[in-house]
Amino acid sequence: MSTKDNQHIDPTLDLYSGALFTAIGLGAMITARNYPMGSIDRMGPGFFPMVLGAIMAVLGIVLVLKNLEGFRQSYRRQYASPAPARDDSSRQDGMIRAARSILFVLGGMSFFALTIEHIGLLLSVVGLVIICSFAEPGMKWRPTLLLALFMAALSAAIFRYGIGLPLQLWGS
Amino acid sequence: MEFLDNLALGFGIALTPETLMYCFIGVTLGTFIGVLPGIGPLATIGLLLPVTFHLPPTEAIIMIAGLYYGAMYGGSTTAILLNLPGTAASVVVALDGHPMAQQGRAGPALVMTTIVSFAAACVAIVIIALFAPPLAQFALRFGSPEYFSLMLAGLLGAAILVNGSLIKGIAMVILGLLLGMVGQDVTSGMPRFTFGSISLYDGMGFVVVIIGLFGLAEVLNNVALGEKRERFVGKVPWRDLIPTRKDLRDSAGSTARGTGLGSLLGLLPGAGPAMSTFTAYAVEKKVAKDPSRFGKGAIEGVTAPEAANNAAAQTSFIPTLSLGVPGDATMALILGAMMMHGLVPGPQIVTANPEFFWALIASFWVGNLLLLILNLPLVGIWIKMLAIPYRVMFPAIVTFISIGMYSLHLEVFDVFLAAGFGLVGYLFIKLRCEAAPLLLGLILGPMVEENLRRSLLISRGDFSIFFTRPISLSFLILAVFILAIVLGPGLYRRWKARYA
Repeated sequence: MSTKDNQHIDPTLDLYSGALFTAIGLGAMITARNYPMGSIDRMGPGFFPMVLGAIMAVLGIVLVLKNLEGFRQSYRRQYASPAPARDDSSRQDGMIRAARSILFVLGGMSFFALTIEHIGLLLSVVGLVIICSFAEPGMKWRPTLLLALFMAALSAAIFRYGIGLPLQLWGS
Repeated sequence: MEFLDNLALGFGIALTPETLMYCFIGVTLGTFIGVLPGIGPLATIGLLLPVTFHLPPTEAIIMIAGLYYGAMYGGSTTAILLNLPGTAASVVVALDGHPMAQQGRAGPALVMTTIVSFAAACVAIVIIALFAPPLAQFALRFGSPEYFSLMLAGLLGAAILVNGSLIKGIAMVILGLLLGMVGQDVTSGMPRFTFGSISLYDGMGFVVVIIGLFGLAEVLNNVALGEKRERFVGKVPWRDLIPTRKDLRDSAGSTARGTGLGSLLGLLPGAGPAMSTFTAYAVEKKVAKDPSRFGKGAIEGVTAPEAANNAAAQTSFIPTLSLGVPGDATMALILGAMMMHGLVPGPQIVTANPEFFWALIASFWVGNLLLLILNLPLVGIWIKMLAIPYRVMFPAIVTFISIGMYSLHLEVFDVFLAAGFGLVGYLFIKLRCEAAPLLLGLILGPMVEENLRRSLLISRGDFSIFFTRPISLSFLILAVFILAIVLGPGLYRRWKARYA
């Protein structure tokens, strides 16, 4: 996790975090209502989650209120002044990259999870590596295929033969 | 000198060629498997446990212990090089270790962790030998209120660890506690927050959450950053692998503090290595002249938690063995392995099975020495991992993560869960919410609730039970003190601005 340059945290981020915490806290409280509360001396399964959810929601609201003013100012600065066009497009570029990263990396993992018990370790890993590689722009087929084959062989060597996990190499 | 006799007994067994060999096998295998991204000590021991079944009990446990530190060390290596921590303890080591690697100082970071681990082991073994029997007695006086107050102080300590807002830190701890509630409630057997999924009845695998929140989130972030990502790609000459004299000087104090804290906190039942690393890091940050260096590659941020981790790993064998209360999941696994070999933990184990107890303690020291010898030459090889281009590295990491998560219980669900937490972790990175405090909440969650419930049951709902018992009260004072350190300066400044 990068912990750099956060001496001055953007109030917008803290505001969003606060909103997220509030939502999670309320969600936990609503879910915890389904479990018996009990009493203080005999706490039921719903008691502790309810208290935690409440504290979380309160902390979230405090965080939102604390950053509301800063958020308003930065919002005004961004949209009241003549919009710097370049900044906007690089921001959009970043969003696309993030979406691409999430889509293909998690897509590759999902492919592995869905296929490992059907087509076996080797093919599953080959598919995983190929899908993952699309996450970086400018993917080339030849090195990717080489890497995929190498990783399949390496995983089989380490996990099947080295550690002895009960993994099917080719599926059933 | 009873303690010297005890140590002599222990070393007498630990240094026989056969025991030494099993310790060596354990440490070596542990390192090589622990270094694979996505495979932590828990998975390593779990995978290799069957190998130890046919050994005599003492040898088996010594080999498992060897696997434990080997994997722990291997885990620190991947945490530092790739920011892929496999345990809660190495999460803290990565906070500053990974920035060091990005600055081309992975060599000193790795070498220092080895040296510091060994130094901490040397101190901890003396402490155990001197204090194990009386401490086993002291720990017996801990009741539920004491545990609860202790954990409260620990959780607050974790919350102040973050850069930035304290509110965010506390909220992350609470989120961790809430995630810890997922699964069947211990007391009533009622499933909570499972959303109808049977796979969540046993709670969320701790390793799955760590790997998702830290490892996978890091991969997602790095891929999304593209060319902007901070990666060290230059060559590291052999000379730069060695820590500078300044590194050594800077580390001396932090190692001593980390070792002291770790030895003490390790003794507390249920606290264990995870909590001690978090606390050691928080203390270093407070002690430092320039706290802003932390998180950017401060060597103290690596050596203090590493020392605390190793010291606590050793001293936590006292509560684990004498009370049967494991400090973390790995300890629980070791406890299980012991029982499989017919060694029943309890206050009498030190007296009933002295040769086993002291051999285990001595093997800790031997194991750390072996690690030092084994790893110093290997550091150069591990560093080479950094030179691999990222477009080759990240599919490999994701492959290891996927197989690693699947191999935990041969459950496809765990792979999806890790993917989900990867997404959540990425969101946290973007929102600048540091996830480290969440982990301590997750580990301690069920225990906090259990002890709160029991305390209030004993006191019939009267909260004064936490203030009237001296040990519990001192932990609460510690908690207030922790808050005061953080909030104090800011409140004082505001007060001054208004009235002065």
